[in-house]
Amino acid sequence: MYWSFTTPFQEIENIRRQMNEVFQQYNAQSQYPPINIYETEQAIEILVEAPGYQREDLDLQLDNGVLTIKGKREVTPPEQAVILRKERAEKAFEKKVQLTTDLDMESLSAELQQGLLSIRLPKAARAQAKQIAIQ
Amino acid sequence: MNTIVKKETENKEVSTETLISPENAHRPQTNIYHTPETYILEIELPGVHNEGVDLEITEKNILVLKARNAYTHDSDKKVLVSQVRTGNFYRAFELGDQVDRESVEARLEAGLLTVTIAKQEKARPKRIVVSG
Repeated sequence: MYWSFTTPFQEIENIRRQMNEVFQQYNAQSQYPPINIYETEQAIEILVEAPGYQREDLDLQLDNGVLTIKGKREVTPPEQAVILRKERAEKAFEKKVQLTTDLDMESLSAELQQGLLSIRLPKAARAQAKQIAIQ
Repeated sequence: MNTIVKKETENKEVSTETLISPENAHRPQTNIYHTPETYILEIELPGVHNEGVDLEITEKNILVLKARNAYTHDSDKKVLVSQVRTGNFYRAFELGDQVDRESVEARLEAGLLTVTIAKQEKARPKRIVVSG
């Protein structure tokens, strides 16, 4: 801690913020990594946070309607370095997403950019909504 | 009506970076190391591009990081799960007075920001040669 000249109200605000951070961290750990799932008419799209991950650290598998996202990496400190703070997750993760729509298995695609992994799973033609023309 | 219009024009003059504060931002996970010559910070900023990062060392040697994740999804997509942290990132690091403010390097790669700050000459270890 360091000396600072603040009012009691600022101190209370600081304590509140610090406690929020603790809860945020705890939540972040229990659902690591955070993902988004979107549905459009044509596809299911999944977005995964993967900052600092390289393509070879990640593994995607679709088996029987279950998408498994696996990640494993080592956070190695630079040479001669002493660790002062360590928050970046380094244990392996495995996340499963159950997909209930029929997918077009031929045109699945995934892309890793700026530490975000985006997966696109196009729906099979028979699973897409169809307009029926009335004669 | 008039007041609303005025407010909107006022907001436009403020850059997005100055609006980022701990209250409206995520706190990025960070590893901090120190080597004999440098301090190294590894900050996770998923989805952030180079131009979205604002780094500043204040006069009190506090490193202030403000970053913006510009990721947006089309509004016609139905959101089923939403956990990815989009929007702002903010974090401040107290550097102490042993750092050399003039030699700071920052590199953003695959959503990971690495900041290397050199220590001042007087704060580095010095080898003493024993004579005689």
